[in-house]
Amino acid sequence: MKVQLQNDWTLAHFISYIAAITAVLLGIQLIINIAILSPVGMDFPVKYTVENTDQLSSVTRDGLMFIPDRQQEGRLIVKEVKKRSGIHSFFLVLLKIVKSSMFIFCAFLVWQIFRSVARNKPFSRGNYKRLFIVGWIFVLAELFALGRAFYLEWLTFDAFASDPFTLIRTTGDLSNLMIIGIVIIVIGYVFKEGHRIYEEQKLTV
Amino acid sequence: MAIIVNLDVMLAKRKMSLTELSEKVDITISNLSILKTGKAKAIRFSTLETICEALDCQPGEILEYKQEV
Repeated sequence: MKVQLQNDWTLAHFISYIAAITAVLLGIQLIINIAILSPVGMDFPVKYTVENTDQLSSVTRDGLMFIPDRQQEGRLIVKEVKKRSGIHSFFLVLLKIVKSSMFIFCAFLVWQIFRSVARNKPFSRGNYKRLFIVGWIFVLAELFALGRAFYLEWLTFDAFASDPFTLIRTTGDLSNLMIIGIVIIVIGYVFKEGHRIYEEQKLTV
Repeated sequence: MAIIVNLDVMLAKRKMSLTELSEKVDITISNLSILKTGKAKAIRFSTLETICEALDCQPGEILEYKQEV
């Protein structure tokens, strides 16, 4: 990826540079995650409520470290789980790599879209296809996160099976990623129509 | 496309080149070429009017409808 400063400093140029920098930073973060964090144990976001406990310290069960976020009316809100070793750890790290790679690809596509907008070619065939890809990646990322949450639930629920604690699942709610993805897909359809009109206009004598 | 552009036939009848027509009607050769090769999606009335004027013909002599099989 080659980033060159343009003389014409438009908003589209600015956003394209931001997207390019984001892609690079996400790549660096991914490398750091794989090289440094994966051997010592990675954090995976969860949404749990542990009942019948009043301790605000991390709980470790079957190699899983539940890091409490806050205490609320005798309940412990857990937002992070650390997994250090085992086949599940490898699988979870792999999932994290796939998800990060998807977002790096998205940032790369956004860079390409805004670069073409800056070059005054917003309604090209490539642009609406890129928008569709970005939109679907967002939708899939949400489903992906949901799948990972259920997988983590399945892993962590057994850890509390023979325990006086009660673990309440609170995962499963969709975040804004899916809505953003759908909006991007709709914008993609608008760009597709724009491309059709542009082509028609170009071939009108 | 079901609409056939007979610009080349009319040019041959009038013994006129595409460059000459381009100069007369003030339309670029590339645009006239799009029209001649049937790649055009639409034609403006103003363009049709100037071409008819330059070639001294009727729109029906330039454009023809043929049913697609």
